[in-house]
Amino acid sequence: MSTMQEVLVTSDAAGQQWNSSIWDPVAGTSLLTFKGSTSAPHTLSILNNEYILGALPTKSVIQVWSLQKTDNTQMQIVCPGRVTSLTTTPDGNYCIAAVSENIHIWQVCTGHLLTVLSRHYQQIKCIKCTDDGTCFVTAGDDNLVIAWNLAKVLADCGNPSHQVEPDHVWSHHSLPVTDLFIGSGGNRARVVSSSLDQTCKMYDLVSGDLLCNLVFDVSITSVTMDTAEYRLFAGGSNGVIHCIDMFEMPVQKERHIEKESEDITCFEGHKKQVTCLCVSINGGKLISGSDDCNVKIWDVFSGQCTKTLDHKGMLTNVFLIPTPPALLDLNTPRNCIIKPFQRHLYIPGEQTDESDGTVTMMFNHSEKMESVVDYMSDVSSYLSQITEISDPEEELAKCKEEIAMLKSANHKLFQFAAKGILHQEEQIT
Amino acid sequence: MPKSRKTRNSKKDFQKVKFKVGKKIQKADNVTNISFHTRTIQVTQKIKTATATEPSSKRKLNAGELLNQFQHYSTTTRNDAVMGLRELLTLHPEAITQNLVTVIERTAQLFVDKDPVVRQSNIKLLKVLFKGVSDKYISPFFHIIGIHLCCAMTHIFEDIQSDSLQILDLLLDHFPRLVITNSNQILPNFIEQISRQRLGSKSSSSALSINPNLKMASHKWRAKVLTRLHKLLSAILENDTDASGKTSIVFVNQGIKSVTWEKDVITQIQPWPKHFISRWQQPAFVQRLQVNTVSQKNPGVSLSDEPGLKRFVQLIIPLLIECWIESSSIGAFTGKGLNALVTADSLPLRTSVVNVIQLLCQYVIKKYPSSMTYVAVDRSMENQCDESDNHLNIQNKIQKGWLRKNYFTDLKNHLMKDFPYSVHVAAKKKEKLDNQSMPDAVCNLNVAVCDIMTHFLSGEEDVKDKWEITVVKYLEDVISQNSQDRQRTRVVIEIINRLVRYSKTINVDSVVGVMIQKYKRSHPLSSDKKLLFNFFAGIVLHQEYKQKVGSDIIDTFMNSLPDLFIDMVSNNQEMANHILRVMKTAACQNCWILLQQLNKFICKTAENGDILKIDLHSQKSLLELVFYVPQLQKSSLKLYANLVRNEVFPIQSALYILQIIHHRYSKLDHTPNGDAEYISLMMSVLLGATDGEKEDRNGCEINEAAANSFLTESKQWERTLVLSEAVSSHLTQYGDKEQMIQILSGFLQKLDSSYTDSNLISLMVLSKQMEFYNYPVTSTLTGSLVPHFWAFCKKIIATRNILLNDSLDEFKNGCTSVLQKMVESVCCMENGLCLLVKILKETLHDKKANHLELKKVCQTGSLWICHYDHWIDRLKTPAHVIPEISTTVSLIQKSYPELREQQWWSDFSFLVSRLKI
Repeated sequence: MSTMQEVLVTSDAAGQQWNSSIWDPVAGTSLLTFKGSTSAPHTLSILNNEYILGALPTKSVIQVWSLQKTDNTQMQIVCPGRVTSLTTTPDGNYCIAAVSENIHIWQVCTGHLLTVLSRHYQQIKCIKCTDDGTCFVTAGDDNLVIAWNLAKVLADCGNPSHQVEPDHVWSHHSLPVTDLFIGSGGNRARVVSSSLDQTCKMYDLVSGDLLCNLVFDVSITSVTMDTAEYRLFAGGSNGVIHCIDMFEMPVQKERHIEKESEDITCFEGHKKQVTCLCVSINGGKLISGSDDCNVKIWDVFSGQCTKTLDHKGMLTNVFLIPTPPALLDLNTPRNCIIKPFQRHLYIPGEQTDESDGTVTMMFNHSEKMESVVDYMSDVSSYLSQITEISDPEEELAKCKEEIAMLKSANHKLFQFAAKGILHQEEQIT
Repeated sequence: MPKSRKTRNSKKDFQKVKFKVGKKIQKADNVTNISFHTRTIQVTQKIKTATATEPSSKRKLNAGELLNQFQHYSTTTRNDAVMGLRELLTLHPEAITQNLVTVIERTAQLFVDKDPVVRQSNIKLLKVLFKGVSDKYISPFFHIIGIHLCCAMTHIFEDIQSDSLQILDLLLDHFPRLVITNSNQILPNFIEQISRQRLGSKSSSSALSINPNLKMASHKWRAKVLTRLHKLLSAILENDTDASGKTSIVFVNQGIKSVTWEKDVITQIQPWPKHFISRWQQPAFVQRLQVNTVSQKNPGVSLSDEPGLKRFVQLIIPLLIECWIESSSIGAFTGKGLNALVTADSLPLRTSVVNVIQLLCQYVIKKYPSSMTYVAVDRSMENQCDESDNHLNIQNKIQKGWLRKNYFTDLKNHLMKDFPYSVHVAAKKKEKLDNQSMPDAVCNLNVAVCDIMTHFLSGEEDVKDKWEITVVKYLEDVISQNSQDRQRTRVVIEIINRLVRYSKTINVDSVVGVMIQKYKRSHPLSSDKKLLFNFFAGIVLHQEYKQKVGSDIIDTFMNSLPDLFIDMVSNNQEMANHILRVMKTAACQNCWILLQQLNKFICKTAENGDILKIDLHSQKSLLELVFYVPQLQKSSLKLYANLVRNEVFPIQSALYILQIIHHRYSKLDHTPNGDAEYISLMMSVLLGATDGEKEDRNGCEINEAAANSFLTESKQWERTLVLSEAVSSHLTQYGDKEQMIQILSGFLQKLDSSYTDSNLISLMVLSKQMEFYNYPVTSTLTGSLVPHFWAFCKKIIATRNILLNDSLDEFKNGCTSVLQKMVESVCCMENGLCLLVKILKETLHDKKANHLELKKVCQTGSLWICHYDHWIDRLKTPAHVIPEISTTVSLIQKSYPELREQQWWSDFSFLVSRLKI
């Protein structure tokens, strides 16, 4: 189990056995299931590698489960309306949810409703966040794809007169948008949207240019790309997954006609529309979920279906996540705090109910530090290989010393600043 | 003494000659013969030296020689040379590029030629020259032209000065971009033509100059110069149009790579952002050399960077205001209120002053939108920032509002003082003709003033200004007049657009109300309609601006769209597409008034065939509207079905609308009622009219006639095939498959069994896709279909249509496989063997039966028999069947003796012989 790089998360519309389940995509076995009702499409989301969030399709409730096996508690958060799409920022600080045509953003650790954005005219179908959490993109039934900058959106929250303008509004689609994909690269990523108008469109997030328009012969209900963005996969409403290469072959001087191209143009196997698509981190496996109640795992290069996971209902969410530490190690400390989401807009400075103005936050220091140390040891070993530096252990020790020194300096700085500020305040008073 | 010879001779010399009447006088020896006639001989050509290959003028002078003569001391020669070069260049345009360096140098020198004739012909030469050279070629030499132009503009001879304006005109016409980049060189000199730097004061201010020696009245001269400035600015604005999308709704991007996915074709695409591509397209590193004619301490003015532009504005606006003040005194009316009257004399100057300011505002705002923003002092912000930040902030703010801060009050005081202006008809000049155009021109002037003032509106939150009300009132008047001036209407609409967008204080309802009235009145094909349409589309579709205009206006506008579209379809495709896009955007925004009309509208276009008139792309966007129709009605569904079955209707659009309806029903209307509607639509597409109405029956008969001949018509064949495949695939995806099959089989059984060929094709495809035979529910249906299919298969196999060969073969294979599977399933249902006997007997009777057909029968039969063996334990077949088969087989063998040699036949007969009860 420790070899598992990624785990697969699925949920279906029937919810007979479970609401959602975590699978080992290699073995095809279920690792963990979460019970209770069902989750609406595009609403299942992982929060800070510790929780899993899903919105009910019929009620205005978000369900929260812990990813730790031992913890069976389930939390229900009531929302202002039925949530049609939901996502969380990668750092786990904010939860972005669409309630019909409005976007609500909550701060997870306090439950404050920071802002409500209304720019869409009809129901929002999909919200996706960039990998660094700086931007998020929304798409809906009104054919619009809108890119927002999270910092800009939250900059002046609590000020009702403050109008937030999105970074980009793309209105190229002519029928409802069904799915979104954001590539890697933070705010320089590329965004792909798929729509019922039989096209996928690729945008440049930083400039807002429409990069290309891919036309298919059926409506496209889901879209994804591999990690390196070499291939684009578009799931059609007839169950065919189309593949487009996002690279161009070098011009060859000689062309041998008899040589058959072995590249794959489509994956056929689903009988009904493909609603969810994702690609494994190495780009070798494509995982698709369809209305025909099957999740299929495909080999990207040969186009073969290697595994089929049967479900009881139409698939609503299928995605891969890096294996959360909580899943492997039961003793992983908890860092994330979830407070019930508030229904009223948070106004800074205003004291609400029992909270005394303090915010409880926990930082995963220990984990971060460890990872730094690991990294350093990696680097030093690498260096020692090249330049034959005496002892990696010694180097490591040095680095640790350095870090300790930096920490103490940092602490001193903080002390000094705090003292200064306090002193100033005293003087004023 | 003898007489000397000399004396004798001298006598002779002096002898008197007697003249007699009637005799001609003998002419003296030394008389000049004047009997010849003279004619002038002009040596127009050289007897030529140059090689024939080199282009030369009529006088056989080549370019080099002509250019040498440009510097000739004689004006005639110079003039001739200029004319010669012009002629050369018109005849041989390719000669331009060869000698461009010298040509430009020499012609530029002639800008300041003393002789007016030479200058004039030089200008004519330039016209020819500039026409043949592109921006790219002239740019390296442009600074030379610029320098000489500056020389000419600052020349002490005023006729050279005035000719230089003509050259500037030419440059603006041909190379506006270059003029802009070199504006820092040309502009200062240009302004100096009407002004002079104030002595003693700072360099940035200057005053209008008056040259009493000028032949022209100074105000006329100024008007002339300002027209050029106006031209320059408008050239800049035109060239910049692509830089910023001022239009409110940008619908379609052009030049975007569109890639179509095809099966079994590898699609490869590498998308790049625009800024990347532009780097490839012009990979060279180009740095424009800014030739600064002005010394370092006195930074120049220019139009391409902000500080330069700012300096230019600082220089020009005071001058313009001075001109304005001066012009108001021209008509000799002084005194309060009388300024409002514009005389014919002062009109040109006033117009050009206002136009220049207008363009200047437009340009500055376009380039640096922040220059107009109203900067409110925000204390809280300042307190929060650090000192360094604060400093920066303040600087920012100063830069931001500079245009508004410096000039708003000045302009307001001067321009709005006597607004609106009206015509003063001088008593003396009444007989003059141009009195007719005066009111129009003044009206334009007023509109331009409004335009300038409304630029200063943006975001201001202070108290209502009086001028705003005046402006709005005036505009209302202008719109309600019926003017033919398109340009003016455009400007007025722009102004109102700005008013609606930026003004927070003004009530625009009445103006917009007048506009909507005009919109309703104007002819659909008029340009006014188009302008007003664009205006309303921009306003109504915008989230914010929508709220500023009344809802009844939006209603009126939305209500007008469907009819307008129908008007436009046959006359103006582009406009029709635009209307469609607006409608779609409105539909997406849940515009209820439009949604209510949508169904009726689409039905109407489908009924009267408008939908067939537009191109494929717009057809698609029209059909996309179906998705937004709030309540799809049965009657309209029937219409769609007919449309899809209409052969004129493009197949792509037909497939598209089926898909849209499919999504529509599977998403929104997944109710029992909706399901029924959906299925009946799909079936009527598949099989034609199915509800058994009499009228439809009649139509059907005609169709049948066509349908029976369609095997020979490839187009129809393909269409039916594609359509039925699409319908079947939609049906398989709709809801639960088993339920769907149940419903369909029930539906099909109700139909009477007289299928046409096309129906059979469709059913065949349907059963293939739905796999009817796998479900026990459909046994009776399958049973009843098999004979039909069988007959049809035979028919197809018999058909040889070269056109259809490929698709037919494919279809044949499909048919046989479906048939086999169906037969398999039927076989399990007991009467399979009876069927085989029946078919075999038929073949026997059918004299024309060929081997191929028989082969198919036998192959199926063999399969059957194998299955029969398999199922024999469970089933009870009538005992008489098996002997019947063997007798038939032997009969066939008798009538076709040649069959014995065929492998398949022997196989079959072997199987038959093995058959046991």
